Amino acid sequence: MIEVSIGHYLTLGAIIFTIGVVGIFINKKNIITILMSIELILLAVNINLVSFSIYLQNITGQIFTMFILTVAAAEAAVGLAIIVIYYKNKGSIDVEQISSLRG
Amino acid sequence: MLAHTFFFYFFSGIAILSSLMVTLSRNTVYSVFFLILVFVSISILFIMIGAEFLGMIMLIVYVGAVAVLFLFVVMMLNVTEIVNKKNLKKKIINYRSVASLVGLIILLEMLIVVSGWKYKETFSVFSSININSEISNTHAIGNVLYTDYILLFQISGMILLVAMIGAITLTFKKKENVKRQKYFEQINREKDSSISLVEVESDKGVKLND
Repeated sequence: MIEVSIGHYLTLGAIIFTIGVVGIFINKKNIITILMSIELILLAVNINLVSFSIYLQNITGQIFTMFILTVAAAEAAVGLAIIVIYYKNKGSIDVEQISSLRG
Repeated sequence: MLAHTFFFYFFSGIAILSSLMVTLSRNTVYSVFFLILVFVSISILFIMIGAEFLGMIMLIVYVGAVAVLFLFVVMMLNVTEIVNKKNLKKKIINYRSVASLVGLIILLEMLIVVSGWKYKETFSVFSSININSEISNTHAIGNVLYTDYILLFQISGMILLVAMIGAITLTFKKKENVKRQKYFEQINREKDSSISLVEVESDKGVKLND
């Protein structure tokens, strides 16, 4: 308990991942919070990769964390652009009302 | 070691509480602020366990770029005050049961994975790229990133380029009454399409058709 090992870091990653997944489900108000939950999920993945990288003394995990950062930034940019253009067209970003595709 | 334990519990507690607040907060601006708090405390943890370059990069990329982008969009869309309708609330309760079920299952799965850690002796370090303690973390990443992973590095650059072009084309709006350059038409102009010789009669002048 006193000694912080890799299990602590993995548990932290698991908790943040779970909060992110649940956040996608319970946030039916606006889509921006859903995007933020996706960022939380990617952050949890980063925690796992970095802690394993330190534990195994292998730098590859940190390299892949950088690539995940790149993908997360690109995803945020494109997602927010889609939200902006949708708000311009419809005047609302309520997830319940987005049903043009009959999904 | 005691300091490490104390800092780990402190920052991870802050990270967990504020990531809860990200999903539960009514106000979207508060959610963005709590997201920033999560990223800051996680990057502090990264720096603490020796991945200092990634911690700094996370501060720059997430807090400096992504969170500010979120804030800009929240500001532009005017969605901070969400009106909660009564029929919506019922649906949220329905989703809550499903969401807690899914979340519980995922958490249990990952707890099982963590508890299987006693088999760690069967894990093997199967890479020749090891962390050298004599050089710094940034140096070690730079050694590998531009040599072994150069292809992935350039592909991630392409991903950023495509995302930038996509974001611009999505939000680009053609305005009326703005003169723009038409490169091909301008280059393709010939002499006989732009100059015309007119016989001018005296005392009459010339009427040009625009």
